[in-house]
Amino acid sequence: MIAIVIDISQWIFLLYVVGLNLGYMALNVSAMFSASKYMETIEFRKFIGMYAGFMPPVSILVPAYNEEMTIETTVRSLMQLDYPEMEVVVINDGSKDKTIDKLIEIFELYPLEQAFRTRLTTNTVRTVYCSPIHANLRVVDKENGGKADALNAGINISQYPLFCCIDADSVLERDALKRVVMPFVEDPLTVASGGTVRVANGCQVRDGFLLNVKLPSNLMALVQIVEYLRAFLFGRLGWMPLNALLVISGAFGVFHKETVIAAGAYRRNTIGEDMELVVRLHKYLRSIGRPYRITFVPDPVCWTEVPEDFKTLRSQRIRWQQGLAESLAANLELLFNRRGGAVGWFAFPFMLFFEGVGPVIEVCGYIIVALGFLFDYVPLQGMLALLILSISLSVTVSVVALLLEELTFHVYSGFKNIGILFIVAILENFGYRQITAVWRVIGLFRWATGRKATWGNMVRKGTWTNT
Amino acid sequence: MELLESIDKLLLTQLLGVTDRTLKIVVYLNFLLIALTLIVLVFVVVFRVRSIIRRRQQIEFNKVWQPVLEECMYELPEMLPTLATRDLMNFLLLWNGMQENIKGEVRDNLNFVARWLKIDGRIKNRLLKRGNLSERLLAVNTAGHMRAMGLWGELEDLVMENEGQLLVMIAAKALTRMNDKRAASIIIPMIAVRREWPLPAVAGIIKEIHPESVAEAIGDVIVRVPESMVPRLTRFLRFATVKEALAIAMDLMEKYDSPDVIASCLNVIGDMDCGEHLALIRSFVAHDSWVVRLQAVCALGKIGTMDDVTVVIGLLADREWWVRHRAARSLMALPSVDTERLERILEGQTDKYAIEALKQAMVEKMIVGNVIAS
Repeated sequence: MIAIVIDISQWIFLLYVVGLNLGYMALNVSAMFSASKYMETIEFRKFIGMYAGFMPPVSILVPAYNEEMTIETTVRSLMQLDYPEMEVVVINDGSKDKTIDKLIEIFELYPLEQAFRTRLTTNTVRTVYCSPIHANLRVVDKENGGKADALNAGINISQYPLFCCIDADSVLERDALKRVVMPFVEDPLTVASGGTVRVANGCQVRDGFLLNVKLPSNLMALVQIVEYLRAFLFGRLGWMPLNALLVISGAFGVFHKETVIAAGAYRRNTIGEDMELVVRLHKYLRSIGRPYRITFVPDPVCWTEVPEDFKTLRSQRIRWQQGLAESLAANLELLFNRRGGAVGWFAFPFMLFFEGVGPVIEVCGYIIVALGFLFDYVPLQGMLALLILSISLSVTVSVVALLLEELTFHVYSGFKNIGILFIVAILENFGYRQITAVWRVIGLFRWATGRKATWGNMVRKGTWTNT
Repeated sequence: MELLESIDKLLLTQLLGVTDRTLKIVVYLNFLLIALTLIVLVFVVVFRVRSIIRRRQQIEFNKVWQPVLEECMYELPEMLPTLATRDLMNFLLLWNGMQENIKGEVRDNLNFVARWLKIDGRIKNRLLKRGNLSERLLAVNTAGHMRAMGLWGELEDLVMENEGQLLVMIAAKALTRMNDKRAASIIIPMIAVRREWPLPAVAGIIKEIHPESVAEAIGDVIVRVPESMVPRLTRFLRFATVKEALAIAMDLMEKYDSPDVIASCLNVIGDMDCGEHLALIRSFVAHDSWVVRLQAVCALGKIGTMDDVTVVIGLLADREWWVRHRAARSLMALPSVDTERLERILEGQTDKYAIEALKQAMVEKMIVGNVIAS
C-alpha cells in the first residue's frame, strides 16, 4: 500500500515538474516572438519624437511605509524623469520611522488645506503637504491602512487620467515613464501597462540616477537576478500576445484611473494588491464585454533593492504567496469562465495549479521521495534521476531566460557576467529553490488560516542609493 | 538503431546500472535537457559576440560618417566616402537621428547628401519592399525627410493598407513632409474611420500640415461623416485656420444637438475665439449635459470677461465635480479676479462643494506661485 502511494506521489511530482517546465518553455517561445517583434522597432523609437507634446499626463503614486533610508533618492529620481507632464504623490502610510520628517525637511514641505475628491474610501488622511521646490510634488500623510489603502488615497489625490504606482525603494530610468506609457498612446484600448523590474543591489546610483549596472556580490541577490529575469522576461512577455497578463508589478505599473475606479480600485487588506487588481480588471472588463488590453513593455526599467538576508527574503516570499492565493481566490469566477478568454482558460489555471498549488506538490514530492528512499521504497537511482531531471529542467528554463535577455537588452555586460549568471542558475537548485518552496507553502497556510495582511518588513540596506 | 542499443547497454546498463524502463526514459530526458541547455548557452555566447561585433562596426562607421554629415550641414561637400551596402542601415540610423534633431536649411543639406548617395533608390528596392519592420520604418522615415516623391505611391499604399499602426503613422507623417496638402486629403478622411489610430500620434501628424489645408480637408469630410464621428474630427480643428475652424464649429452646433458634438465645438471655440461668440458660450452654461457645461465653463475661463464672474461663481456649486473644479480654475483666470476678490468670493460661499472646489484651486495657484517665486 505504502509503495503504491509513493509510486503515485512520484508520478504526480514528476508530472508537475515536467508540466511546469514545459509551460515555462512554451512561455519562453511565446516571449521570444514578442521580444523580437518589440526589438524590431526599438532603435527607431529611440530617436522618433512621434508623440512629443501629446503624451497623457501621469500621476506617480509612491506608497511609503518606513522608507526613511530610500525615500529621498526615490523622490529625487522621480523628479528628474523625462516626461512632459506629471505629478508625484508620495503617500506616507503611518510610517513608524522618520519617513515623513525626512520628506518635510528635504523638500521643505508645508501643509495645505486642500479639497480632493474622495472617490475611494480610505483611512483618515491627516495632512496633505506640498513643496515650494517642486510644484508637482504632494505628500499625503495618512493613518496606517496598508499599501492598497495608501494607493487608493493616492488615487483620490491624483489629478491625471493615468496613474503610475512605484515602490518607494525603487529607481526609474530617466525615460522609463515615457516608454511604459507608450501603449496608452498607441492603443486606446490599453488599461494597464507594466515595465520590467530589475535588481538594484550591486548597481551604482547617484542622486536618483543609475550610473552603472553591476552584479551584486551577495549570492542571494544574484539568485534573485535570475529569478527576476525569468519572471519579467518570459513570465510577462510570454503571456502578453494572448492578452492574458495576470501580474503587473506593484513596483512599476501604469493604469487608466477611471477603469481602475470602475473595477473597484485596490482591494484593501490584501497583500498582493497589485496582482489582485490586474486579475480583477480582467474579470471586470470581460464581464461587461469591453475590449481592453493589459500589456507589458520590456525595456522601461525600474531598479529595486532585493533582500540579502534569509529573514527578509522569507517574509517577502511568504507574503507574495499569500498575495497570489488571495488574488486567485478572490477572482475564482474567472477560472474556465465562458467569457474568460485566454486569461480564464490558460493563464488563470496555469497560475492556480503551478504557482498557487505547485509549491505544495513540490514540497510533498521532496519529502515523499526522500522518505521513500530512507525506507527502501525508492531506489537511489530513482531518487537521483528525479532530482537531476527537476534540476535540469529548471536550469534549461533559466538558461533560456538568459538567452532572452541576450536577445533583448543584455544589460549585464561582459562574458564573465554571463558565466556568473549561468552558474547561479545551476546553484539555485541546491537548497534555494527548495527553501523558497517551503516558504511558499507557509504563505499558502497563512492565506488558508486567514492571517491579516500587513506591510512587509523589508530590511533596506540602501547602499546602492548613493554610491 | 544498433548504435542506440549499444549506447543504452554501455552507458545506462553497464556504467550507471539502470535497468528499469521508466528510469531509462528519465535519464535520457536528462541527457536531452543537458544538451539543450548547452546549445542554448552556446547561442547566448554567439549572440553576445554578434552584438559586440555589430556595436564595433557601428562605432567604426560613425567615426567616419558622423563628422562628414556634421560638416555637410554647413558646407556641401565635393566628395563623399563610399557607402557600402552593408552599412546602409547604420547610415540611415545616423542620418535620421540627425534629421530629427535639426531644423531649417541644414536639413536640405543632409537631403543633398542622401540624394547624392542615391538613398531613395536603395531603400525602395532593398528595404521598403523586402525589409523587416525596423528597416521599413527607417526607409519610410527617410523617404519623408528626403521628400522622395518617387516613393509617394508606396507610402500611400502603406497608409491605406494599414500594415501595423507604427508603420502607418510614420508613413502618414512622411507623406505630410512630402506634400502636406495632398497628404491632408488622404489622411484626414481616414481619421474618422480608423478609430484605432492613436489620437496623440495623429495630432503630431496634423500639426505638420498647413492650417489652411487642415481646414479645407476637415470642412470637406465633416459634412459627410455620421454624427458619432464628428467629435473625433472636431478635435483637430485647433490645427486649422481660426476663421475656418470657428465657421465649421458654428455650422456643426447649428446642425447637431448631441452633447458630445456641442462640447467638442465649445472646446474649439474656447481655444480659438477672441470673444466674438461669448453670448453663444454663455447660453450653454445651464445645459442638461455636464459635458457641455464643463466645456462652456472652460471656454469662459479662456475668453470670458468681467461680466462672466457671476455665472462662473454659480457653477462652483454645480452637481458635477468636474464642472465645479473647472469653474474654480476658470474663475481665477477671469479678468479682475485677484486674490483679494477670490477671498471675498470664498467668504460669500455657503455651498460646501463650492467652498471645497474654490479652496483647492486657490491652493494649486498658490503652490505654482510659490515655486515660481522661489
